[in-house]
Amino acid sequence: MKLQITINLFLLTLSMIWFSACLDKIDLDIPSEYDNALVVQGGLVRVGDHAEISVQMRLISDEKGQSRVIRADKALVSNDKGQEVELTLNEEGFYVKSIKAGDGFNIDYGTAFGIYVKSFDGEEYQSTFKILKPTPEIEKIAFRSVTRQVVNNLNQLDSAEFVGLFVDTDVINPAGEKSLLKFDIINSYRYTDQLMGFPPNKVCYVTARADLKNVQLYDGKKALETKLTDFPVYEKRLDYVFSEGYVGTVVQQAIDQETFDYFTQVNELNNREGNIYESPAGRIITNIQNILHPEKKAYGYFYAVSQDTARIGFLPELVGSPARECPVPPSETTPCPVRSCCDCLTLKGASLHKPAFWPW
Amino acid sequence: MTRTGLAFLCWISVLLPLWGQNQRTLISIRIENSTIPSLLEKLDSLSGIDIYFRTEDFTDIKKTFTWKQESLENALAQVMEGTDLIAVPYRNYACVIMPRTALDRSNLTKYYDNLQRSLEEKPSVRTNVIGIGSMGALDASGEVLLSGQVIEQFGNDPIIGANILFGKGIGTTSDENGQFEIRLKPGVREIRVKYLGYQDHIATLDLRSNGQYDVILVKETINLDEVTITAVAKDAAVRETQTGVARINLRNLDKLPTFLGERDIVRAVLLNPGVSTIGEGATGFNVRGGNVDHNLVIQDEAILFNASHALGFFSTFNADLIKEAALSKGNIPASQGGRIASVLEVNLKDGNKEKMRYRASVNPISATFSLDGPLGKNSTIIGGARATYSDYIFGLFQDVSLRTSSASFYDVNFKYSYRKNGHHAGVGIYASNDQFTYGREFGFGYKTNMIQAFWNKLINDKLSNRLSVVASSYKSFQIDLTPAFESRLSADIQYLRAVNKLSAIFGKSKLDVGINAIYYTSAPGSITPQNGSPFVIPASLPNEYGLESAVFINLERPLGKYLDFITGFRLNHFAALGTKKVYLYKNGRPNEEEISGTEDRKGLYQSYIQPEPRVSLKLNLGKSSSLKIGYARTSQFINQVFNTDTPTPSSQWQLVNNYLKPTLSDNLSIGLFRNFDDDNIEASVEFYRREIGRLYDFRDFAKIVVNPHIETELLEGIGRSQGMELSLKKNEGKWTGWASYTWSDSRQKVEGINDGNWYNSSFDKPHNLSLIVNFQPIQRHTLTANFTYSTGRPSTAPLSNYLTPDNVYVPVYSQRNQIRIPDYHRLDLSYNIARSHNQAAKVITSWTVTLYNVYGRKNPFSVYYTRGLNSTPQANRLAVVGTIFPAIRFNIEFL
Repeated sequence: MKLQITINLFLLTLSMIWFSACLDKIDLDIPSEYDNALVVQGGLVRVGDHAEISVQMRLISDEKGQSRVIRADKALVSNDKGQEVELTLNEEGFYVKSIKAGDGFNIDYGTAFGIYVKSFDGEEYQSTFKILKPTPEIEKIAFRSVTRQVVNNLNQLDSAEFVGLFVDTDVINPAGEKSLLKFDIINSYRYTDQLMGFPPNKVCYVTARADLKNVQLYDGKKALETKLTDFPVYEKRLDYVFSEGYVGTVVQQAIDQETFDYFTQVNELNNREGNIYESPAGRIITNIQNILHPEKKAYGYFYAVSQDTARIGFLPELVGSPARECPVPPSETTPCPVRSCCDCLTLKGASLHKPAFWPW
Repeated sequence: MTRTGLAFLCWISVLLPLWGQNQRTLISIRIENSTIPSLLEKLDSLSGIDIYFRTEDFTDIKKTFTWKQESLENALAQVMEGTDLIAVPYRNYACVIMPRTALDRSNLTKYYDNLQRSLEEKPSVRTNVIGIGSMGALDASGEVLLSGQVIEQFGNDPIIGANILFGKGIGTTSDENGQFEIRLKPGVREIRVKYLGYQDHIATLDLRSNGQYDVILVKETINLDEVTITAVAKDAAVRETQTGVARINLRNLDKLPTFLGERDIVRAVLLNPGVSTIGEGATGFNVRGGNVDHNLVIQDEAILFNASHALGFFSTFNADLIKEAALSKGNIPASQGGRIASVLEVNLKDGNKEKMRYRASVNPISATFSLDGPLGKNSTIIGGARATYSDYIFGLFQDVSLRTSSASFYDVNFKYSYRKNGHHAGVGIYASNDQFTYGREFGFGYKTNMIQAFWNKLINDKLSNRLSVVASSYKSFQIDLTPAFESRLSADIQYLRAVNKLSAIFGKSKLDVGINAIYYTSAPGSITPQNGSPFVIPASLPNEYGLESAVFINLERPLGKYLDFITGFRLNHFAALGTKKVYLYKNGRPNEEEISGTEDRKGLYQSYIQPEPRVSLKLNLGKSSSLKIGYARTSQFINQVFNTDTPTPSSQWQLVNNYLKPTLSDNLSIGLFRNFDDDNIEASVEFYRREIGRLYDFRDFAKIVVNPHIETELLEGIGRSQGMELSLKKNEGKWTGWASYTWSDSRQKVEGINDGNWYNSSFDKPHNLSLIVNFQPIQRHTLTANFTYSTGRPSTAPLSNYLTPDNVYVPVYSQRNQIRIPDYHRLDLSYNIARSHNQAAKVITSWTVTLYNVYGRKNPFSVYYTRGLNSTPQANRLAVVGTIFPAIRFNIEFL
């Protein structure tokens, strides 16, 4: 019998100890074509007998790799009737215009709209034309507390309380067509700033778009129903937002298929987990084009919609009386660990003035 | 002659015969209840005629005869009645009982001459003579067909080109499998087998009828200059007519620095120009810019769906068991098909015929065991098992995710072979299991079970046939360990394959004709929640079935002194079989938004026929150089589905159907091959171009997980790949080595992706360099340096983002495969002290010290993207080997 033995000794243990990590962050070389790439985005929203146009221009990536608002040399909106209106810059960096029906710029349903933007370096961008369609009305809005299972900080399944907003609405628009719906949520709540050991200070009313990862969408064309009943449009974990009074505003918009696809892709990109199994995403669709240099990519989206809104307000007792955020005890490093407890006006959308729709 | 113990009556009146008066030799005897062999023995002794017969030709039937003054001829005729034997007289003193073969006149004289010679040479008076066959079985042609195999004593490798001589001017040489066949006149012959570097083998054979004689050659003990023996002929690259063929030199595996010192044949494959890999942790390899699933990987006709274990650190193939391996790039022989880029063909050895040998290897994370040897007179076995037990090593990591990771595998190979009289048959099995988990994040695993049977038959010295049947099952899964979202995604594929190849040699030409059939059963995917996860909805796709079949013909022949020519043709057919639920679309084109209904289709619901011509031409430009041109059309009916940046072994295999058509590739290559310094230096340059039709790629935002209409996620386009491959090898001397460089360009164009413009394919690597340098200052001591470089792979990456008026961040992605992940490069060093060739030693040792990844390069296995501050995209590199890995391998043999 012939016997052969191989013994493979290695200093693996030492190597393993030296080994710190095999997962680390890296920087990739970004092609220069993205250095000055621009985003042009905005929308025309008709509410009642007037329309609000809002357009923004952003740089994709500055020297810090972040997107920022930039100014345009010119921004205007036009319709398929050959009319156009120039937009003006507001303090938030948007080029806006409010147009009433009969102002010389046709905003009728069935009319198509597009935007034109010119940058200071001479590039010109335009969008495709989007047809304005009427939106179904929200018939009813309601709220209720909901218990959900969530993953806590210890990566364990846990239960948590949420407050949900629900609507009843028609899926068929006034023109008799099945709609693709998009929902926006605006939170309005009362917030009193206060430091520990001191009495409550001033009261702010905060009104801001809900901080959502996803855009809420509903595909009415694929559904069999012609009416939505008790349809959930928003959920928020029960916290201080509901502690002093809350008004939720649901904004319902009817959008076209391409716009629906755009927001669907936005949601898909934002829902990505970040692991090796994930399929690579792609470039999100855009209806913005560089007129002078079509080969240069432009980003962003313009859409024309009509909308309907519904509001509902409730006091904290109806949702379990959640605790206020303030006052909070001071920390060693700062007397005001939660900045808004020192000054509620630091909250985005905060004002000392009570909104007109505030019921209390 | 044999005698049986029976009671019989006999009374005899025998006239002593001379067989020249055979018709008049008279027998008078009564024999009762006697078997025929006993009868013949009796007649032999009574008549004085030597009667030759084989006992096994007769049954145990007993007969009774009474002869009175009966001629011997008539008596024998009566005895043979009812059998298929006749008594053939020879001259006046012998008679042979043999089958009723039609002896035509042209053979008769030769037969009698050879029979006389055999009878005159009496082997019983000689010593140490080996008998081959038996007298009664002598072929009607009067010649003996002697076949056998020449192998070396250690390693059991076949010896190609050994001279088998039977005196001046009579002889043959062993072929690529070490086998030989020769027709000789019967009688006692001296056989002499010679091969450079080995002691001559001399024996005396008594050739009586067709038979087998195998030869084991023993190496000469070399005291001075070492003779380099290679399993691959040094001028193979120049002589071989087929373009794009790389034969792996198994003898150099020990010197190749590898991770943990494990001998790995796939690592050797990667040294060839035009071949690359994603890197550590990745499965498979890429040939000329193709996908990993574009390569057919086979072991003894069994198709393997995965070429590696344990994150690519171990090859699927157990190097201890391999006889030969070859990679055909682009211009694939007509006998192979089903993939468009390459074929890696690995054949296992048979066990050695001398005695049982055992090998064992153990290290802190793995163990291997192999054995081979004889099992009876005509049978051998060879087998091996490997397993890892590395989980405890992960516990030593500082990183939490690594501490909770695990990786392990095992595989088992076994092969039984039987050889006799030109038959070579056997059974082989292969079983493996792999699993890997990374922390509490993700994991995958796969297992293969395979069994195969084969039968080779040497019909004559010009004709041979090989039949092989394989049954295999490949099961894979991937798991998501995210809490509350734990799920398992499984995909399986099974097949049953039969292939038959008839090979004929006529003159200097070789013809192969054959048929191949593969029946597939695919379970494309099922997802199940794990640990009661509430957020995972189970779903499963029904099985799919397909039959891939082919007939092929391949002719290899020289056209004069300067031109060699191979032409082949393969006709492929694929039948998609139901019952299959087929989705219907409004415009006939798959689109998820335009599904108009479904239909159940039964039986053969779609078929494809793909003719595939193959041709290679070699122009001999002299003794040491050649120019080769090759063209091959190839097609593929099964593809691996993945649209991640890194293919995993758990990606599903998808059969073509009524919407997904077979991918086609036209491969053209031209190369110049030149050897220098008496074949010590081999140089080559080869250009290639591939045009790929019906190439499928995923649309943006494709959903492939358990998708019942996956055709809606795939867009059809075309591909193009071209490149230049340079290779330079030095085989002998103190300094040896190999340098290969490939420049390549691989692109795709698919309507609906990248605005319909050309874009980089997922495995496009413009530059690929491999350098191996061996320094051998004294005999048996070798220092090896191996450097590998390749351009980073293309990737589709989020580069930035912007905020919408709805307060939602939108990532901005690059164009498809526009970005490249960091380049791959690595330096390995090894020091090898080879085993001694001292035949008298009782203990032989060898050493290998390896430093893998000397400068600790963190080459990425995968790059994926998460969101940082303000949802700014962040690229993350997962490197499986991020540090230097030293290893020491000590080998000891007890002889």
